[in-house]
Amino acid sequence: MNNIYYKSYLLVLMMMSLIALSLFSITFGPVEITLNQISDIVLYKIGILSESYTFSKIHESVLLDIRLPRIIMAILVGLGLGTAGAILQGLFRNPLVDPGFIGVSSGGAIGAMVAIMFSHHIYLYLPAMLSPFILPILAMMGAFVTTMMVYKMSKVSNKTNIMAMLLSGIAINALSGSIIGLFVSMSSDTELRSFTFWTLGGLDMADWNIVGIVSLFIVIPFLIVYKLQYQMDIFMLGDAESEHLGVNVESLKKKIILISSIVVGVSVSFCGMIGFIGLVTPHLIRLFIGPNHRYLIPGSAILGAILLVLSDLISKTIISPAQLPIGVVTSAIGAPFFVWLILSQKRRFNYAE
Amino acid sequence: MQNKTLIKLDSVNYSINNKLLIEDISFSVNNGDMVSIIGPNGSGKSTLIKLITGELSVTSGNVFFNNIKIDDWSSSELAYYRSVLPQSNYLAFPFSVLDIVKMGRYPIKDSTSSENELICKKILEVFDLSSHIDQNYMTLSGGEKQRVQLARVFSQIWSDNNYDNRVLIIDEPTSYLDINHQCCLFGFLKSMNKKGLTIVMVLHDLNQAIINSNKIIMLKQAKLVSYERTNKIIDTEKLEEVFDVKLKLIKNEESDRMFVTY
Repeated sequence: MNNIYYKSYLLVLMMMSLIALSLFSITFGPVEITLNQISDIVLYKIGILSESYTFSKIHESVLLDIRLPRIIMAILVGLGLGTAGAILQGLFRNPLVDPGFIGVSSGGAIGAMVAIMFSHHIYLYLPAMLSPFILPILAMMGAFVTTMMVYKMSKVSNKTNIMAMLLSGIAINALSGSIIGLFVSMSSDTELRSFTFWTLGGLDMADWNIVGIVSLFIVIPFLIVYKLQYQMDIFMLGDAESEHLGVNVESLKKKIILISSIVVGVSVSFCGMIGFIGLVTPHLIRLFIGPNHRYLIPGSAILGAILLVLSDLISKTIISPAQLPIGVVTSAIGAPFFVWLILSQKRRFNYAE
Repeated sequence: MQNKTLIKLDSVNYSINNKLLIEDISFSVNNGDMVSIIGPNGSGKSTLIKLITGELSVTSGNVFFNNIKIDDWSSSELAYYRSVLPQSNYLAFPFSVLDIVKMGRYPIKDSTSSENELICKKILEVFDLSSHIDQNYMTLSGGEKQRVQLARVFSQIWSDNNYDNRVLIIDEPTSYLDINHQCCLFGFLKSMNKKGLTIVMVLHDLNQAIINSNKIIMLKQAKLVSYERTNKIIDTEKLEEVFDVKLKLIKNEESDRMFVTY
């Protein structure tokens, strides 16, 4: 547990399995592409290979326009959700916290519902090129507004009170639930169907433009978070304790809230609700690598990506040629794990205490 | 240097919902002092500690550290001069004992990581924790946890040459400790104080306060009752008044010291 080489070795191993899994996943789908073809297509595109013996135009466009952006999207979103889970569990000093707790997901859902129900009105006032982005933009706005509300409500005499934040999160989630319920009751069947599919999550929107936007909003926050690693370790001691060790606690809390709401907001808005990744990954990493954020943050990020790529693989193979929404798969894996988590912690900490 | 004022409170009031928790308290702690704060439950000891450290803001009055208002210090600068042990020692994640003690070295930027490791191990030895270095903190007993937290605040304030202007503030450091480790803690505190470290502590045991400090602050119902040098002669009348209990004095024939008991 305490050997630095062991920890780094494990991270490298996870990184390699992520790459292997991604390549394996790319080969699956209605059009089969072999690993050989993948390398040939890439070499051909770079210009090393001058003629395309092994693959057709269809293979090329399926790989470059559908499979690659989709897999990169899965990696990015998994990375973001894993990171957000790790830092939010740190913020609440509680291993049972999920990014959904601070209201991001439910706010995103309101935004998405508004976009689905009123899109034909909104399109009238917007240039046509923006139309595919209306849902993500509104979802992101919704996510941001609810997170800000939770954050403002959790201020007690100018300091962020984490307990108040958890309660505000529950209240805002309940309020959002009722607003969504109102919209659902007014919506038509088709609207309801597209909203339901959005809440189940999916990577179908992925194209290179969206991958570009998402990578910007996930990679930059990740790099900022990575710099906060040691402060996060100290923050685990408690608010007063870390302040006495020279950590600017208020600014650290603000950074964590802002970053996790951006990261979760952007993944919710493009991919819908993908549950349990942010809850499960930090816990597994803590179990196998330890609680130090130096390893916890990159570890959760990589494992989040692995889990989402794996879920994507399952979602497109299990009932092929049809697809299962990816949120269904992550929940199917995540929920039993969560139950196990509660049971094992109950034994370990003896809740009666 | 002995008489330089390090901590100063100037008619400090603190209230929550119009209830005064600290009422018009003024005193100063000099460089090199070893001060105990005693008083009955709810008299405001921990609140006073939190006001001194700046964790709570005064309702009126001023708190100074080294002649500068406590609010004008940045937390990173303060952490260099001052280490504080609050009452709680809860942790939700399985950090190792060494991890936690090393966190104490975070504010000391001019120390290399191998130096830090050496210092931490030395302090862990003082607190009889050498065999627990790699153990998960969450699996420790209450007393062991408290010793780890004590080791952490000592590693923060540890210096090889100079304890001038440096202060250690600890709130009930002995609440979970057995008698052996209490004795060991006070021995260590005294040796650090001899090197020049200023120490402010909240204590419950009157005898410990009398033996181990050179000044005692007595609080009752949010007010400062007395702030005096510790004497050979114990003022039992005042103690009886503050704690509202009948007290006896017993003489230890060997050390020629008086002990308070009920």
